[in-house]
Amino acid sequence: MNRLVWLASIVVGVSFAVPAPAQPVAETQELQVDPALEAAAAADAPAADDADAATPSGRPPQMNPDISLILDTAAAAFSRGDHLHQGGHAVDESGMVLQGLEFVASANVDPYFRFDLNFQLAGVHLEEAALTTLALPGGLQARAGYLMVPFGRGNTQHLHTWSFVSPSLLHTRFLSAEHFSGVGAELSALLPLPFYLTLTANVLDPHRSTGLRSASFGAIESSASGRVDGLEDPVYSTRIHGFYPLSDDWSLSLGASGAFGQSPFVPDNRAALWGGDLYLKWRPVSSGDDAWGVALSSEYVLRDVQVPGDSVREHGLTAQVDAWLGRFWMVSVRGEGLDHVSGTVHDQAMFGTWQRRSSIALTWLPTHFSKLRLQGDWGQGEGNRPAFGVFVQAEVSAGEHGAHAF
Amino acid sequence: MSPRPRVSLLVRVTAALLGPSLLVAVPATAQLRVVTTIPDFAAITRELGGSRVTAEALVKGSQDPHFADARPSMILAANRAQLLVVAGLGLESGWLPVVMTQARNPSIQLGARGYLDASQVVQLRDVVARADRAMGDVHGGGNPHFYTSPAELHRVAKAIHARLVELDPEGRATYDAGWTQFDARYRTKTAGWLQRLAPLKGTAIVEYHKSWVYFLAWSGIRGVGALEPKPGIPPSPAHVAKLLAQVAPLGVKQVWQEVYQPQSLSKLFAQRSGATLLILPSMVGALPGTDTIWAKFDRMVDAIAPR
Repeated sequence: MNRLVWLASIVVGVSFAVPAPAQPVAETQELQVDPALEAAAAADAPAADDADAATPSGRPPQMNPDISLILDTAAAAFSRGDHLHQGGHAVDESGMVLQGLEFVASANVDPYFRFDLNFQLAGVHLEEAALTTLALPGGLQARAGYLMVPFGRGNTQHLHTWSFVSPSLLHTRFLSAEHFSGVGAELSALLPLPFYLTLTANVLDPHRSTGLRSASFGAIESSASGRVDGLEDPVYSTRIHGFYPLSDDWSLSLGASGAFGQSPFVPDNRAALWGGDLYLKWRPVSSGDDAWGVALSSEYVLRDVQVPGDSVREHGLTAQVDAWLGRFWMVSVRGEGLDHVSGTVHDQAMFGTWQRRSSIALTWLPTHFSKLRLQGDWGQGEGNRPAFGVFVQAEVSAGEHGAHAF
Repeated sequence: MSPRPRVSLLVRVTAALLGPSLLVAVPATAQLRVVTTIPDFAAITRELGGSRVTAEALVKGSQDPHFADARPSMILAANRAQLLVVAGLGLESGWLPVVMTQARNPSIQLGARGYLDASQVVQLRDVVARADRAMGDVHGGGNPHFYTSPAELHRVAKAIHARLVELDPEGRATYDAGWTQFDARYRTKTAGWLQRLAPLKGTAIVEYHKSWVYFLAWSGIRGVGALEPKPGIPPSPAHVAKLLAQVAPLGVKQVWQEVYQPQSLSKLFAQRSGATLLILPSMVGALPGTDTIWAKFDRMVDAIAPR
């Protein structure tokens, strides 16, 4: 017992001798004049001439990739059961769904390569895992790995960058329920012009087993031989993309894309996608009101698919306007439609004939790392009577997340 | 399928995309092409390098550098740069990485001599041992707004001078002359600014965002609170009311904020506290007539300590 008392006395005694650790700074403590700050201020004024001082960053050197997790969860209610399908990641029935849980990691590997990973933990699948060259001459850049195809604007945008809860109708119909993607390689060139213009060519392995995701091209497993026999078998895509800074406040981006591969209906026949996209943005950075802005984005896609004894042509158009109302609010409006142009429709599951949808979304961004969204939809199509949908979505992002392309 | 019309369409689209190139003038070639993220570094580079350099800033002084768009025109500028000067500390992390990756320019990547992280030569403030988003949008490595302090920009200028000489040794005479002139002007101007600000030493001010900690430390003026409850978290009426009560005994004289921050709550706070709301140019070009760092600090000092 005595030993215990002695031990307690020592512990208590030491606790008085050791200074208490700093308490977390409460908001009220901001009001106190920080003596350290005062001392530093006093020291710095005369020391301002000491230009030889060079203080390295306080952060210890880190070699880890930037890693982040992004969670999207949503709920929906539809006025009818036979409403339009909402596409990949979206809520397709009345109820709640975990839309996405993205694991994102990126880092420079060495002076020559960068590595980017985007893994979807909700419905476990790879969205993108790519190496990118950093040091090719002549404005060239190569990418390889599991790639999202740069077809139009929307296909390379991840769920957390969307302005709506659901992808566009043309994306789901012509590109993929997720992303038009696969294992492949890409070469792009930034042309030596006085303005930004890139040319990109992309080739994807056509095997379903390696992860080809496409709503328009058939996997090689369904061809006559079931294997790659020649250069006509892979899926190819190409894109030309120009950007014109009309002023400090106005930006115009124009793109045209094409993709070619095997028809999913007739082995060794062909399918082709053609697309055009436009993005016009006004953001008044020159007046200091850069939290405000308006952007118009539009995509058009035309698809030709050879079917037995025929060729089916369809097209689709989507146009949306995003308005940023200060740093914390955004309103988005979207109108879109798909139509059959020519040819006999053999497969309703793939072709689906005409569809129309209008959407409006209100997004609240309490910080740069979280958002809440309310969306209303009205849609109809052949085989679907007009139906309303209401969505609520929440998104949070944790960790070091990379920058987004314009 | 009939390919001919589609090829024709592709040719027309390509022509439409290429067409504007004929209307854009090609800039004259300079000895050294420098691209900087914020305009202060570009202004300094122009003073040091004169006609031996071209210096272009990716964001404007009136723009919030945290939230710029990664416009492809930035990629084009970075592609042609021989030196990229960044603030670092995560200030540009929302847009610069994609610009650097897509620039296809090994000369300006991290670790190359054409990449200069200005924060590496700064006496950092607000360095936190552990950063967590619950603390707001904190920059763990330190507060990145060091460009509000003349002393820190002087250090950055010295580093830019050294890098210009390293990348373009033939221009050493020009850069040395530029540095000598810059340094002399800095000393003269700093003495004048500090003299004007001396009576305000110890004066209490409130910031909107913690953008001014370096200027405060340099001038001896006291920052006693921020309208943002945490960095990057917008001020709420409740927080502003609480802050009003807390700073009342301290006699806050001024509220400082940048041009791109909303002003409604700042005005209310200033009105209720009896302070003056000052919209200050934190970066070169943020306000008309602030196209050099000298003009920027002249404007700041004029606003803070009117003659």
